[in-house]
Amino acid sequence: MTAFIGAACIIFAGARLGAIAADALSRRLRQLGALQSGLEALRTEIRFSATPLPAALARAAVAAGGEIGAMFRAWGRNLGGASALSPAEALAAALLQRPAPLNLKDEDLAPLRDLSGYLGASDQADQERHLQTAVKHLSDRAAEAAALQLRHGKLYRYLGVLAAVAIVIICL
Amino acid sequence: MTELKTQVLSILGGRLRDILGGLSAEDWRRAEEIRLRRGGPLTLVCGGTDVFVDSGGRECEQGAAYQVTPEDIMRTLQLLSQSSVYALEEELRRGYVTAPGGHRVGLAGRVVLEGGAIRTMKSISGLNVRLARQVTGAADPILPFILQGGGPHHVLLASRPRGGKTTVLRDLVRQLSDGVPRLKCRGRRVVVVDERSEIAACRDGEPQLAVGCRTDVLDACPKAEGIVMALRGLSPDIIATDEIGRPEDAAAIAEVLNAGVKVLATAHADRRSDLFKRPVLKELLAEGTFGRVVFLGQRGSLESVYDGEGRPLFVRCRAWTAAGRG
Repeated sequence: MTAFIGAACIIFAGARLGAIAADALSRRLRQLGALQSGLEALRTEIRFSATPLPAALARAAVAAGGEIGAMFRAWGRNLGGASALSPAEALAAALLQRPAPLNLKDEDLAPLRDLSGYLGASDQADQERHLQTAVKHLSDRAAEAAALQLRHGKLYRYLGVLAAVAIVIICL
Repeated sequence: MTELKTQVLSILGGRLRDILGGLSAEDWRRAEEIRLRRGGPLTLVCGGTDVFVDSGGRECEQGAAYQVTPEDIMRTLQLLSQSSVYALEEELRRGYVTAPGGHRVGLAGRVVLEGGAIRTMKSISGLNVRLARQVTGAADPILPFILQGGGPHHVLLASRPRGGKTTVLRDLVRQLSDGVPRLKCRGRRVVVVDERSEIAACRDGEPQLAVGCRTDVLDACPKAEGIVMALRGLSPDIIATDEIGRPEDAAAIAEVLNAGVKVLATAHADRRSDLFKRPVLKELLAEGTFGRVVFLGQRGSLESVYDGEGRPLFVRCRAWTAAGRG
């Protein structure tokens, strides 16, 4: 009876680990999508309303929602007030503060970091070009993440269960 | 003074906030401008004189002054624009930004032209923070001369540049808007056509300086168009505007006269003859448009007042000194 309960626990744990790994892939894809939505909202705010960055980032946060929304909100908050942080410094501080867990790789955030160096520093037309470039890079990253999720999502789930079963067999 | 200091320090970035935060209350009281030039000495303009400031916030010789860094300029610009230069395209075209509190920050840098007109400014290398001070009561000496039967005449305020015209006009607007009970003048509806955002010093459409409870402001609006807009839409008793002199301004003022609305305006001129050298003003004065022409001396002090026919109603006596005789 004890062996049976132990085997069930191992299989459950293996399945859970596999699911966590697979979920991380789909969360990354979702967050890349949210990042693009946020930047599109930012582009609209800059292009059509010339909204100052702190307020524009707050609106982008609403458009992005979830963990990415929290990151945009922290970014805008860091820029506001009398802090005199540059957009790049404010983004770096927001990422350090980790207002919500991100499943993004460092390379996924690279377009955002590159963009932050130019954000707010030039006229509307120039800002729009930089934002479009960032969205394009993110969309490439999202396509890559989607392919990875398709390829490895199910694999991680099966692998979790199979590895647990293998451990059970060896232990028996 | 504390409020002015807080307002100004809040827009200064880099080391400037710490350095200028260390200035004495007396320095802040005297300061008219803060000059920031990339690689140049940190300078205050006090009473028209340059005063250099060292890194400890003390007055010093030019050689010992704190050298303003590109970082100081960049951070200050970030604070002024909320890191959003794209939101200041109109201001960059005009060459200045109005900061909270009505302080005007003039910009120096590389001007970008498009079709012969200024499109924007980039590579900002210098900032000039002109401290805005509301002088409550600046118009007190003038009011008895310009009021008749409880209402004002058409008034032209004239002085040399930086003579205090705008300060006096602002206080005139405030007092006429709120009413002046001691002179039996009830409050009037006033529209300020503030082409250069100097009178009300609006930021995001909100006046940063007191202009009275019955005052509407058309901010950054060209004078001639603004005067017509005000007449059509805001039913004013008085229209106030700064620095008239173009033919279209005269045409717009003629509209106002026909509508029975009073005009308060300013113009650059040191003496009466200077006004007659400017064709548009010459025409308006020859027609007796302005019932009162007021000349201001240093810092808004009253020099002389003339009526519509050019008769002096008040002339300040000047001291007869050796220098004066020369």
